[in-house]
Amino acid sequence: MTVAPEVPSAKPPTAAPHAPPAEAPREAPTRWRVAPADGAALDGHAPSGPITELWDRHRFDMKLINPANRRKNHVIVVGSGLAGAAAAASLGELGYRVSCFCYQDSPRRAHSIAAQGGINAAKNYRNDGDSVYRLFYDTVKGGDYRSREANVYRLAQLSVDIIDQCVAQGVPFAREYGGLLDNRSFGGAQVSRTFYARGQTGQQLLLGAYQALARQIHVGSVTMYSRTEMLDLVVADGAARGIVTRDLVTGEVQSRTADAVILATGGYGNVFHLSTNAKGCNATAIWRAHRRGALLANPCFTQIHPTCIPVAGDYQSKLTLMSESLRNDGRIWVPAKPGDTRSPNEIPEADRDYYLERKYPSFGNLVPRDIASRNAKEVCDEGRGVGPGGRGVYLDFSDAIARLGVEVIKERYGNLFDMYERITGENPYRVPMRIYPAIHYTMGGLWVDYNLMSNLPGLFVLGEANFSDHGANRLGASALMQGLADGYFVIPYTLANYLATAKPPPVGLDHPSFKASESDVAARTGRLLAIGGRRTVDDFHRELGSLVWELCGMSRSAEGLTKLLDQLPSLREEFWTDVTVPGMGAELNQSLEKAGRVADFMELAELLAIDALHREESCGGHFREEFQTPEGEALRDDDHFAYVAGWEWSGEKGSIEPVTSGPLPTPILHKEALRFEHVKFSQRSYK
Amino acid sequence: MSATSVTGLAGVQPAPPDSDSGPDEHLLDLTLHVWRQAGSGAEGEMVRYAAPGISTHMSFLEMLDVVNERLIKEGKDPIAFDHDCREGICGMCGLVINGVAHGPQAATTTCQLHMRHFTDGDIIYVEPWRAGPFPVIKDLIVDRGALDRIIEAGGFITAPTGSAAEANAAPVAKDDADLAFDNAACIGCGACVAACPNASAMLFTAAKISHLAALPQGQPEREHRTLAMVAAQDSLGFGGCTNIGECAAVCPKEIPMESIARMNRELLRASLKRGRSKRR
Amino acid sequence: MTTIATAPATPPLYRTSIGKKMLMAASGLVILLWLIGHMLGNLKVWLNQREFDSYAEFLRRLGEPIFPHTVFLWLIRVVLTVAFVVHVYLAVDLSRRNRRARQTRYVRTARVQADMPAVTMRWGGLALALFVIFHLANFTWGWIHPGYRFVRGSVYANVVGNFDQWWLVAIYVAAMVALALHIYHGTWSIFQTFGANSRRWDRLIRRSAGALAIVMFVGFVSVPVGVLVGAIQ
Repeated sequence: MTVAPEVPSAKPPTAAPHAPPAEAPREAPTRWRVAPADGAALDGHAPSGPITELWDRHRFDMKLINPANRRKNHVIVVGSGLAGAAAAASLGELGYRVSCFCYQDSPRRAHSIAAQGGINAAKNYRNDGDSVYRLFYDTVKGGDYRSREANVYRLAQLSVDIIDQCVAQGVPFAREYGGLLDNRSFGGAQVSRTFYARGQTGQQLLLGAYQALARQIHVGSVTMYSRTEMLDLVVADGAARGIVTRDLVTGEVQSRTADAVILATGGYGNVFHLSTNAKGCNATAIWRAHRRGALLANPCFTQIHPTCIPVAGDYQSKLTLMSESLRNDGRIWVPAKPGDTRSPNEIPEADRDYYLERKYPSFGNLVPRDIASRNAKEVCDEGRGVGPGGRGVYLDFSDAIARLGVEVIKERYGNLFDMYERITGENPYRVPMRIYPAIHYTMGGLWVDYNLMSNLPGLFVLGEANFSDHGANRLGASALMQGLADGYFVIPYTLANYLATAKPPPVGLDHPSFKASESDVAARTGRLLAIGGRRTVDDFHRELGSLVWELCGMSRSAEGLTKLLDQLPSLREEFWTDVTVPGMGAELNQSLEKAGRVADFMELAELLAIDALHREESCGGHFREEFQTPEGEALRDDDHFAYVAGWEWSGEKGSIEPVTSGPLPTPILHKEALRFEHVKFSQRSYK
Repeated sequence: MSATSVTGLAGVQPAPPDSDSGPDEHLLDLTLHVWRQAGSGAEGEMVRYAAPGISTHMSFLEMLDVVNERLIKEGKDPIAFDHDCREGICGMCGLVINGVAHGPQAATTTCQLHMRHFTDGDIIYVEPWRAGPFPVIKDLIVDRGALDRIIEAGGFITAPTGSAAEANAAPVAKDDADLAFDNAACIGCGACVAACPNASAMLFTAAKISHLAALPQGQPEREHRTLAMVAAQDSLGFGGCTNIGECAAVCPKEIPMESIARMNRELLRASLKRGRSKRR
Repeated sequence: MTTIATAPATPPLYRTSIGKKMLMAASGLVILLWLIGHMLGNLKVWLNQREFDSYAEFLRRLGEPIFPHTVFLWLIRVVLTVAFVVHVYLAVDLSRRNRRARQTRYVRTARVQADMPAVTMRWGGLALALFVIFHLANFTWGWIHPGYRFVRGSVYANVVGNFDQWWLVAIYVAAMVALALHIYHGTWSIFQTFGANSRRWDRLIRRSAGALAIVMFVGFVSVPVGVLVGAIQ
């Protein structure tokens, strides 16, 4: 790939079909700078040639490392989810010396474990016309043409090997009576290519990877550091050479050198405070890497899941996802008139609005995630939402129960209904469920090339932490696939190539970069503990989350984003003057852990908003109100925005001192042009 | 156990009821007795906290969040407890609530337990998992690394990346696959150890042995795995099984006692087979 | 470089906690089988004095002429003693291990499902061990014979003399309650420990163990109670 041709971002969108009037107010790009066209090109380094052969050729072209020499290389893996555990285990098996870090008490608890639905693979076991090419095609199209074709093709190719690998590890996938693997169709796909293990596919895949990792820990090729959090990336002489960690039990801050650093630290969904992510999920690793010079790509591509259990009160700590399959039999509605406080079963048919069936007669309740989500927000904004706070819509099974009987519904959704009842105390067989959208996955992340290496040599980024394969929107059952492909089958090759061709000279802990990183980390910790203000960390996180969710959530506008960008600096400033973090640094201190993470979310939120403001189109998970078709559909602008937005930290990269007043240093936009040679642009329609 | 000391939270006003909240929401005034321990070497004690104005819609951990926020605002040290996914799958949370691991609701992790199962005026005792191999790190947080050591000893199938055969090459009867899954559902929370009067990890170990022994891929290492995992669980200081069944009763994933019987059978089988191969 | 998981030396079965449990179960089974015979033999006391005393004499002649007089009985006694010693030794050994594993106790404890027989194995077992010594001193060695003259060989007379006293009957009935509880949980545990239990068979095994415990209780208790109420004279 070559550098993007310069597109002045102040230019109004050219006439796409159904383009809105070009009068929409356009922000002059004062909040960001575009990298000069003659500067270093942002190049994905995808090899050229026929797409079906790229990965094979590339594997042959890459250099190898002699088995006896591998142990001379020390590799750090941060994160132990699907991508991290798979990478650490595979590299350990190959003979590298690996150190693996996770903040949980065991690598088995990473949040990959919560994935319910399944994992896609182009096995074509159903004989229903699936193929590697079709999976590739669906993923590029589903990603709304904002991903790199070469990466996606490789992902589809490797999907096949992943299933083999997991079965060999003993992952108990669902099977048919004949003993062969079962598949189902997922997320509206026309082929049945999703492998699953009841509703706990993520758990089973992670335990497979965890067990492979445990084997390597036992033989000593991997050293595991649990309850250890990465607080800084050390960049020495232009390459990633180590990390600084904090032992969450003792509080000890330590530097560690490595020949390469792999980040597999997941997404940044918790910037919204309430999300389906685990409480501990954080962006600290990727944000500190960004502050040290790694580009952060497409942060505005965030995915919202339409069927989550709504917020019940201010104390809400997280949101729980209910499988999307519920929409197959449930009907979504709200009262026709605002302010209708009758209980749902008392509202007659005539006073109900089945808004999805009304607006999208052919797809009805099965419209894609983003459409279902936005419509829910719309009816709630009109005051027709139900439940506490008025942020919820009904998902009603009474028709399905009348048609199919309670037993059928119980068989299909029994455990989901039980989970719903456990959380809400309401019986969904009798009262309609209440659902509302929530942040679920982040497609954006650190920018990586075809080798999964960031712009910083020696820094590799895998899984949800990178931006690479899902474009603007991730398809159901593709996240698990990407994490495992990156960890098992990509990094073992590309890391070897890096170490064989570009391994930097040895570096010691006495290198000034290590000293600087360590003292930066200590300074931040000291500063957080010294503020002694009045507001708790959670209090700030809640405020940040509700701001970002409100102004940069399901739908975004220049006006709202500008408002958000105006408010974030003052919130940050208040945080750094009025937060209270009890306890000390040299002990187990959960408030301190949270404070560090929230501080990073506060900075990341600003870049997220800037990215959303700069991307003057609607695509995938990014919906700009100004850019929609007359029917309210997302309106892409392929002429101007078919690129990856890689953001560079323009401030001092030698320091991670927090930005405590004013906006972030104006970020610099690097564009990686995306070319679609195999999957041609098309606009979707669900009417 | 030292005497219970009292930390007054009398000055804290209960949160005003949310006018928009659901019809069945109630506010509870609770009294908590919580195990507080500064560090692994320190002496611990039960400390009493008043917890007024707790919504019945809160989860147990959200209730603790609220108590902690009040403590922080008073300049006191919040209660440390482990938690992560808060949807009952990561296995990170785990508290002994009124003497029962994960509290009163069966097949439910602490994070999924909601306050509507309590009544106004309840006195709730909250303690950490107690077991020799699970030393307390702080307050309600314990070190469960011993469970990882058991898996590391043999709870895996040796299948290095890239060496796998075609996935459908070895069919697995559905019953075997279901049995494997039932046991693979273990979340490694350690409630079985906490509930067992002997602090035995038999149910945990048995679940993994049962999972892998049920599958054709698990056969080559079947005997070695059992011998190694049983030896590890013994050497880590867990107690033995006295067939009481508290483990299975508190297991949030309902792993049955049957799995322990299967592990015993597997161990007998492995020992007999080992005897034979030694003679050869 | 491939890493091969080396097979570390694992302890032999009898050194593992599960292996020890199996030995406990096996020794318990030996004692249980003997107890069933003991109980059935005791029932002969219901026939008449001659039948019962000749049964006692028969036990001494058991195995003749292959074994000399009383040798087989002694063999049984040796096997039983070994089983008893093994059972008690392992109970102590495993209990110590279990206590080490749970040194800090909960401030609040609550049982979720454990039944009384399961949680009384340890103390009930200790009580039974003491009772066995008392029982031997009572009827075998003849050291304790309050209110009547103990005559070696006059088994029937000794039994009747003994159980004419309500407090001795009370001790025996109490001990048999402990025995019944021990047999109930122990019998079920034999199946569980040797891996012969499953969800499918669990209910049947539990019920059979319960039935056995009741039969053993009734059989054993019938003798002292029979004497006390005058049905056996």
